[in-house]
Amino acid sequence: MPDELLAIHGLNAGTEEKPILHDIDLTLGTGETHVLMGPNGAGKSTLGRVIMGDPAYQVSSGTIAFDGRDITQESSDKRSLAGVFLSYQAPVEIPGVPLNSFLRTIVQKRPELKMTGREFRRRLKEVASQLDFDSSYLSRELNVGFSGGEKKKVEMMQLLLLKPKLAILDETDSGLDVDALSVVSRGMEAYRAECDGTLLIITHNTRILERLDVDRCHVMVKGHLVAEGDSSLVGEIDREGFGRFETAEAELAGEEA
Amino acid sequence: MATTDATTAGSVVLKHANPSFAQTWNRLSINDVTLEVPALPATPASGAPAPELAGIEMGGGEALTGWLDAAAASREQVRVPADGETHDVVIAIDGVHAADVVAEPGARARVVVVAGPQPAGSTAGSALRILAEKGSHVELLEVVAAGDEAAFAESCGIRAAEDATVEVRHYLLGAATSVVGFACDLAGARSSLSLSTRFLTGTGEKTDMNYLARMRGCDTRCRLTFSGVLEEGASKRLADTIDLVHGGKGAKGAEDETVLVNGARIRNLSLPSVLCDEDDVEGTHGATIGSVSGEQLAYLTCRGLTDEEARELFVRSAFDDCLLHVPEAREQVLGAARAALGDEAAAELSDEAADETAWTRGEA
Amino acid sequence: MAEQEKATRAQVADVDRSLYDFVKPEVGYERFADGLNEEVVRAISAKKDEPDWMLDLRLRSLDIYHKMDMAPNWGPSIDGLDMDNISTYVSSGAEQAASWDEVPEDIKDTFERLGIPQAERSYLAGVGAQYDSELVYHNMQESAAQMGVVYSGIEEALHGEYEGLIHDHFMHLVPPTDHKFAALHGAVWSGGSFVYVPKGVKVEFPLQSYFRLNAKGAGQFEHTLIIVEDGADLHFIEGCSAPKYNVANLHAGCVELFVGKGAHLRYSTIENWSKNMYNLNTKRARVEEDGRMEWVSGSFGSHVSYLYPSTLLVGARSSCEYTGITFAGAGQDLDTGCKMVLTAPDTRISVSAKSLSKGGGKSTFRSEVIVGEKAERAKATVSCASLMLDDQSRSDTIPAMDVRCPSASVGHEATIGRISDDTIAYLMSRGMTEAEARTVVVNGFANPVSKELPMEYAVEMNNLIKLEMEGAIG
Repeated sequence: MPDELLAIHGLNAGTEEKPILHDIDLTLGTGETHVLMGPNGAGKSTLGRVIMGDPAYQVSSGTIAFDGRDITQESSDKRSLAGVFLSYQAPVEIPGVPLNSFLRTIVQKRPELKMTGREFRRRLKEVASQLDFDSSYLSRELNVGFSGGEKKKVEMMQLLLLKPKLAILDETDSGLDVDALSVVSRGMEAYRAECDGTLLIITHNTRILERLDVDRCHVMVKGHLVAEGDSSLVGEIDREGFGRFETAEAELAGEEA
Repeated sequence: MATTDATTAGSVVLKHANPSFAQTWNRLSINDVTLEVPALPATPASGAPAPELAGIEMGGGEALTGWLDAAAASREQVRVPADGETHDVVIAIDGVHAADVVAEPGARARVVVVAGPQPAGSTAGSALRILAEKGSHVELLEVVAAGDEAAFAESCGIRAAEDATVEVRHYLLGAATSVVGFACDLAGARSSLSLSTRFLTGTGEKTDMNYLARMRGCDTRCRLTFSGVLEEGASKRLADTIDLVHGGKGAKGAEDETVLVNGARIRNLSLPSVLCDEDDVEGTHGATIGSVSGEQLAYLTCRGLTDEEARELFVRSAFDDCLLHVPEAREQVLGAARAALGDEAAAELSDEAADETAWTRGEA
Repeated sequence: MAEQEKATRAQVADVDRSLYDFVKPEVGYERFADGLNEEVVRAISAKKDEPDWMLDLRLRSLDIYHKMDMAPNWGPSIDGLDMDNISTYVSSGAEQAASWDEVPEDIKDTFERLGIPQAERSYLAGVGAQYDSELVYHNMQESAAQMGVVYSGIEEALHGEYEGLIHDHFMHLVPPTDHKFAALHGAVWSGGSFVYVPKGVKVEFPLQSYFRLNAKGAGQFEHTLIIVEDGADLHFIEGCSAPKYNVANLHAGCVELFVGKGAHLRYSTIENWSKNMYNLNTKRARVEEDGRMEWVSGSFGSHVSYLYPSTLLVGARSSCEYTGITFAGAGQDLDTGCKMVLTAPDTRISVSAKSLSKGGGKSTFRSEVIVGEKAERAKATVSCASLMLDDQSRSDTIPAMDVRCPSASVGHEATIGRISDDTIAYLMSRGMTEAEARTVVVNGFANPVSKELPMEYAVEMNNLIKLEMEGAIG
């Protein structure tokens, strides 16, 4: 199916020590906005990492197909070039590498984004101003000494420069930080406006979703996807929390046992 | 103490060259370097430095500075006047060179030192003295791309008077042996030094660096940043000292070193010292030494880079940075880039740099 | 205001050390002639009736001592130390006792005033007390002895079943060739402790040795040898003090520590020598696979110190932590720090050093971290912070690193500065005097070290800081 961008079937995954995700089925269509919610420690961030291909996690069974192609065994750089993007909660600091060199390098890796240095710099300025990013930071070392808000902006700048087909925004921690929230909102709006990409927003706080049209909402509890619904589910969670889903998960786990 | 020994015909050995101002256990071989250089001509061709510059403390130490002064074929003497313009002083290194630069009060000088490819087996070098007078601004840009069969040695000393600002960028992009000694005396109140050194020590090469910021004036500032990459079999020494001298109230100094190790059999020596003889000051330093961490690699691959490309990124950024700040050295830098990264990457850098220049001009 | 503050802060009184600064008469003393020669060395050896190999070691060391020079290019001056005016062996004549009642009254009173017998009763598994060149007391709890733990005078051990073990370890970690004062130690060492903890034995309470140098113009050269076998666990505490004289005294002890596979040793020191002391002490540990070494080091006393506990991590996954504080006041030049040599895979070190300078004192943090080619994935972090308490003092940080392994990661950070005026203003606005405010900040600064010490020592350390700070405010 052409409008099926990401299709996960029967996915079980975890670290060497313990399984985290159980029997995940998840389908995201092109251009849709999905939300993945759930209490702390449910495995939401892990799902994001597994879709990106983080070597810290192993898939024990199941498949991940992206854009009609099985990527379950692919390394994360290939997935990235194919159009998967994952924003980091805590982006790493890389001394010795100026931010602009880094951005130029990752853009150049993508034939579809081929542009001259001049075009690149124009685009970079544009994106920086969209996000109110202090452009003097562009020549500083990647994330070194950046505040939490600046690091978040760096992630959003990459989102806008790379224009991925699928953007997974792991915002489990930023729900409480007003500044980070506004940076992410602006990033998401710009991304929605500029490309027909698919969004998967991982959060346990509904405030981040206020200015967004959500197509589907998924609920994860203890590594299981226990519910799926339209945007009304977001409102319900906002009012009532995850109680009923936790009960559902307990029943599910009981059946399995 | 004898600092020179005659060896085989035609060369001498300089002992205790490039000495760190802060000394420590001798068995670590981190205090200084021993260097074999060509014997001096019977009669030195260059004269002594001008009296007003003669007392400037030189980073390379007595043995190395003395040799460079005597080995230089001539001594260039430049005075930069204060006329609102920025004056370029370009020094192309070919053999051993000596230069004295005076930036007059309020002047703006941009001193560019470029050591391009040198004959195999030769030792090129530079003895550079700079006096930054009251309120002047001196930018010192230096590129060493001498090729992997030549040695390069430098001793540099700068004295900054009141309100003078000194900005230094060193790009050590390649030489079989590079020895760089640098000292900046922040003698005047509110004078400042901002220094960035990037070094790429290639396979089997040796980079020896000694930096000193002597903070004598009140409210002086210095920021020293070092970052570099060591390839297989590379050997590097970096001794850098911030000396917060008694009486220099309100001084603030910071130094920072980042070294990326890209291969086996390396030797990486660091001696980052802060000496403090005054209480109303702040001094900090930090050093990070290691390979690209698993975490950093994971981040870079998740943005589409292979492991190899991720490592290359660190090397490329040094060339990028150099082309941006020293367009005069374009040919030499691209030459070094070809040696380090291959023709294709160098061609890309070249296009980028051309773009960059056009862009900067377009905007101006 | 600023001028006034400066005036106050520059007024530095000498520190009240009455707790440590009392002298007992040298009645009935045996004291070898000042100076150093083969005759003196032979006399010390004869006095101790030691095995021939030990006399050989002493003579060889003396030879090395005469051939070596001090490094001319770094470190505090030791010009005030003239070996011709130092007696290398001084004994009160007291026999070593296993009960405080048998210790001569004068000496017993000394250790009572330093709180040693009290500490022994309340929380130590064993105590050794050295007075000048000889041990005067050594005792260990029955329960520890039953587990096979040996804690005795090293000379005593040399005459028993452990002679072979001592022969195989003594000055193997710190050879006489290490530096000039290691050679001196090898030639004239006297007293010190021997500890042996058998495989798997965990000693629940710390052992402590206390070194008191009472005699004027003398040297103390005790040797501490500790062997902690595989899987065993020990906390050893070392204390030292001396009254102040107007002539130089010398301390050139040596500590050799062997930490077996999976074993753990914590070695804590509160050093409070008087300010006429040259403290040229050498401490070294060797750690096998999965072993763990911890140093906790407080340096408050002495005129000049050269002190760098060093650790060789030779076993895979072995680790070392160093936590140290140095407080240099008037007339002190304290050059302290540590050395770490990592030669095995997955080894780890962490260094946290603090220093304070005041009243014209000088403190230097000096370190070396060597990461060998085989130390794959080794990790090292070194952090040091220095606090300047006035504008008369000096504080230097000189950390050397030598990394030869591509997969190792080494991090270093250092800060130097003074207590900010804002902090003082804030605390004063909440009702503290300036002196109290400064003491609060300094105690907070020292806290990471004091919290590593047993309660009683933490209290002692905080008292030392308080004394120093009161001296500072005058």
